Amino acid sequence: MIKRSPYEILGLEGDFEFKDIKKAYRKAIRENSPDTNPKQFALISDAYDALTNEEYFIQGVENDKFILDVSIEREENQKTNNSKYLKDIFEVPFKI
Amino acid sequence: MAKKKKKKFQKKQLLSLFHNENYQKVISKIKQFEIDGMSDKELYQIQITSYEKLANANFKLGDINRAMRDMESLLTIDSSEEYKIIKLKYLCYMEYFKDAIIFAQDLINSKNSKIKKEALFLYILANIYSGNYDIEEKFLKLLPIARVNYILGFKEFLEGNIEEALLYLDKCNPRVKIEKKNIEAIKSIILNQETTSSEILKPLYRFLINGDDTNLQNTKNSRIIKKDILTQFYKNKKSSEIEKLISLKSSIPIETIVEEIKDKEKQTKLIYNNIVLLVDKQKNYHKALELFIKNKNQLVQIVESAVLLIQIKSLLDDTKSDKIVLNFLSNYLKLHYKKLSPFQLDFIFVFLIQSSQINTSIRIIKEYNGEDILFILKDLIEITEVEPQIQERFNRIIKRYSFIKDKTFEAILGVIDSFNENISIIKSKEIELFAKQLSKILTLFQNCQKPHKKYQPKIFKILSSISSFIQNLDFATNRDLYIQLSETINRFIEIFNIDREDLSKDIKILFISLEKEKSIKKEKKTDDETMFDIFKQIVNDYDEDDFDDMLNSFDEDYLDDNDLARIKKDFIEALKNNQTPFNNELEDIEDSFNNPIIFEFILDLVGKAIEFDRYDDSFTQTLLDNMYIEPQDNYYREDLIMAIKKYAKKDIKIAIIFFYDCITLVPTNQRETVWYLKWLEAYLYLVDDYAQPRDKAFKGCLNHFIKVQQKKRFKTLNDKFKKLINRFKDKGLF
Repeated sequence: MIKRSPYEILGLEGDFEFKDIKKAYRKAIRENSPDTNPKQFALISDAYDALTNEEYFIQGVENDKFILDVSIEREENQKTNNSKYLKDIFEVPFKI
Repeated sequence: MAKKKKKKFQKKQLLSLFHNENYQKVISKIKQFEIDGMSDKELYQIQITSYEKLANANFKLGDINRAMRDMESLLTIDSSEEYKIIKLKYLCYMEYFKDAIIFAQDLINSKNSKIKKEALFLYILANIYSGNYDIEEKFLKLLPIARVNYILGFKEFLEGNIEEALLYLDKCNPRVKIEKKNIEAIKSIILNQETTSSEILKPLYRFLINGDDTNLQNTKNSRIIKKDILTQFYKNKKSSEIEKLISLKSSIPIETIVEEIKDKEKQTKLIYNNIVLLVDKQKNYHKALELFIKNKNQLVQIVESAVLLIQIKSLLDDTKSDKIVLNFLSNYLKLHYKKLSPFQLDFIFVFLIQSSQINTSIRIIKEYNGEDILFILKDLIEITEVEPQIQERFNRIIKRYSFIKDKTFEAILGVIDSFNENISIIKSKEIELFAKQLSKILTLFQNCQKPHKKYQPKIFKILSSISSFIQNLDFATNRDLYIQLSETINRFIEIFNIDREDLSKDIKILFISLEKEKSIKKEKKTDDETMFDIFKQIVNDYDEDDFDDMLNSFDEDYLDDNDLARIKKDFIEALKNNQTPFNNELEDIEDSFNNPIIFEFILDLVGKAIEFDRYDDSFTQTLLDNMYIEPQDNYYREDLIMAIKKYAKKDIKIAIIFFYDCITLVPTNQRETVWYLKWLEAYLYLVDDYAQPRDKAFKGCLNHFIKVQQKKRFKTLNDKFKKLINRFKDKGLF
């Protein structure tokens, strides 16, 4: 199963240390309580378990792959209107 | 001076070239030689046909200049209108519209009505393309209505009146199917709509729809446009590939990521994600490892990368990459050591110790304080003396529970059981030596402080194994070891407050031995040796290992029939009570049962969901997701059909509902495959055999089967296709 990276869910990046995982978890659940944001809360708990609960971690290694968040601002596919080229090249839809 | 006489060329040879459609050579031989034995009439006919065929072939390939050259040559021999009209067509395709208008003058007055109509059509279009939009009505009246509407539509289009153009094109309804398709293509191009391209379309339309420039007429304008359009399609293709990756649909070529994403951090993340998709979706583990290694210097920055690499390696039987992998993990630990939990480090150490590069592995493990893992997997079994620091380490390990360490202790179990298994072929000196080592291990257990209660089962398993082994040793000469073992067991019985009734058979026998003061030989054990296999290899100077087996051995808690019945009961209760029936227990079913049982279980639950009015469009998908089952996977496909056919005898309605759910869950990109058509075929026969209504779903499956088979022409399905057509042709379904 593909899951979001637990580090990213907990907002951990750069030069953090293992002890920071707990802090990040606490901060994340403060901001996403089970009442106000149950889905996010479940994700956060799952992420925390994946990083701190040994059995859960081993299960994850067997079953899950972690994917990273990448936001790419991309131009919409350039949908150039090709009809203008019909005017330049001769073609007819009939058999002649 | 007399003209040099031409050499002769045999008629037979020329005809052979002609029949082999080698028209270029035919023309060149006629120019070069006198054809011996061929009449002028025959020669004329051969020349005409050759030039005509050559012109036509070159035109179809898009080489309009060569086509025109051949046609000009032909016209020097025969200037009939039949060939002039072809020249007129070529002039238009060469975009020589002014020349075309002049050249058409005679032809539009031809007495041959077919020539006249063709000439008029081209003449009017040449005028329009030259910017002369005044069309004489009397000419239009002579043309078929489809062509008139096309001319008027195209005129409006060139003048920028798109709505009017489309109205005319809508009315333009040629009789020939290919021509209809071409008109549709023009409309889609004008409207800038997505449409599917096909080989039957005219080259220009196909080119504008999907950038395929095959057979596009090579003219000055087309060369300019080609560059624009191909750049645009190439750019769009790359964009949609990146989209595919971002939306996690599938992996894409790494080159595309590197070309398209310049931000190094994002690029690295995308490369990582791409490898994840290669593993998870494409199941292409070799390619995944290859890409990982190729991009290791970037990927090492990502804290998630080590687990991914170990996952990939565990899926492959590969030692070639061990050196590079070790190097990667060494660099990885340098960067991320502080971020990892002790058990994550242990996990990496367990992986490292199975590498073929054992010395490097040990160095890395020691560098990052992984001596505990080394101790359990290596030192413990090689123990000769119980030095204080060894006892201290053992005490520390056993005091604090670790899941990975607990599993790692299984290695020693494997070694003891191996001795038990092979005792008859092991030399007595080796047995003696091993008994001494066991005595040292027992000393460690005897002297350890109170171990963590979660280690209790493992400790008793080890003691039980030693109890079994010890029965192979003569009691009198090994009395001390018997006593040491019993004392150790008694100590742990006390520590963990164990009921003696619950002790294993081997331990109970040990106590009988002590009472009777003799060893009691027993039957050999035949337990699974997976862990031993691993350990044996480790102690044998760390040869190649199968890490996958080790991971699998971590998960031994399979469900039994009672569990399955209980899970089903709970699920049905939840359905009945309007609660969420899906829970974590569902995910263990897939590991514990074979496919027919799993599908029967699912079908029963679908049936119950329908019965309690809890079934909706997402029910099947949610259930399958919870069970981590994708029926379209190769592993399930065949069994699904068998299970559904079997279930149909019990309840056809549930069988076809579930089957159709599975069919609709198949991703679009897998719907033109042989196995998918086989699913459809099975579905169609099932519905028909059981006289179920031929609803929209049924017709959709039937049409899709026919459409795809007609398109793909899978040889293996030819007979099935004919059979299916025969079965349904008289039923007004198509």
